[in-house]
Amino acid sequence: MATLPLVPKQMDALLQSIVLNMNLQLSFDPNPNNPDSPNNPNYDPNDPPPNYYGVRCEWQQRGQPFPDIDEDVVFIRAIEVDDQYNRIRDVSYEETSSQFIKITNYTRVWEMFCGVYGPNSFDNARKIRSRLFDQDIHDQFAASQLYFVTDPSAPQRIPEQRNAQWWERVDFAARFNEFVTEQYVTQYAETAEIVVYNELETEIADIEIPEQP
Amino acid sequence: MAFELQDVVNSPDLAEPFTILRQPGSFGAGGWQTSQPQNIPAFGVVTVASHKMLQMIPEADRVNADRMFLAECPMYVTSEVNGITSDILVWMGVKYRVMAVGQYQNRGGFYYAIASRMKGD
Repeated sequence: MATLPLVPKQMDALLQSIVLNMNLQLSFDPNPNNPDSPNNPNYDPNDPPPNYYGVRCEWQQRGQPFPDIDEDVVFIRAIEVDDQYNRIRDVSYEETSSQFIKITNYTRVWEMFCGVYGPNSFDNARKIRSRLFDQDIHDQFAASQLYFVTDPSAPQRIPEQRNAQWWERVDFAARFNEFVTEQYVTQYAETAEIVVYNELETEIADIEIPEQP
Repeated sequence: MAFELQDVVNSPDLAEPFTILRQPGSFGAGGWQTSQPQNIPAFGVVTVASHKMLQMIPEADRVNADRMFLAECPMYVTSEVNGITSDILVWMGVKYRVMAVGQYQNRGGFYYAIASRMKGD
């Protein structure tokens, strides 16, 4: 199944939704004005909205608030990384009734980076790593042509010294191969003609090569 | 002889109440074990050392700010001899952790502390 190649914003949204399905111990928005807050009067614990407070995307254009030191929050981002595997390209052509299409397939390699904060950060990072090997998480990635590279390095605990305290933080990164399909409408030669002239510029031969079946 | 500034530090026109949370503890299994903090009422001049400043990092915005506290009662940074970690000063409901202390013995014996805002946003 071909899909359009992913862009970083799509990757962010995809990773956010999948990490939210990993059963992590995350903090909830305490502000009752926000719909994903359990303190909101319309919050339904039997059908809760996604906890976007607990899993946030990095590199927001105008920044975003930072969680408190006792809150469990995962920050995610995805970047394309260089890999020998993304050099190899498979090119084919497809003809429709009105167009001739060039189809290029190749593998693009993404690195998902999780900055896991909070008192449960170490355990949350462990769960993220383990859940990537589960079939249900695999299937969610596969729906977007993403396939987990199954040799992730161990999560790394690196508490941050900020605001006169140490903030618990664990970093975890995993790579994914994206099966990319690019399609371009292109042109091709239906026939080729060879015209031969002599030194007096007199045509001596005109050969037309028809389209090959 | 240097002017004594105790009267300034204690001036009701300039000084205001704040609380010192003293953080006693000791070494134990698993690391430093904090005991119940001691609440010490204090009175002194609280002023800005550095205003709130935004620091943008990939994850989110961190906000840093520092305040200077001047008071007659001593304020401490982490000390193995005293068995404490740095005092936390609570002013207007906001916690600041002491990062630097000094004493003006020649001006009446008052103390000053520079403390960093502990909340990250």
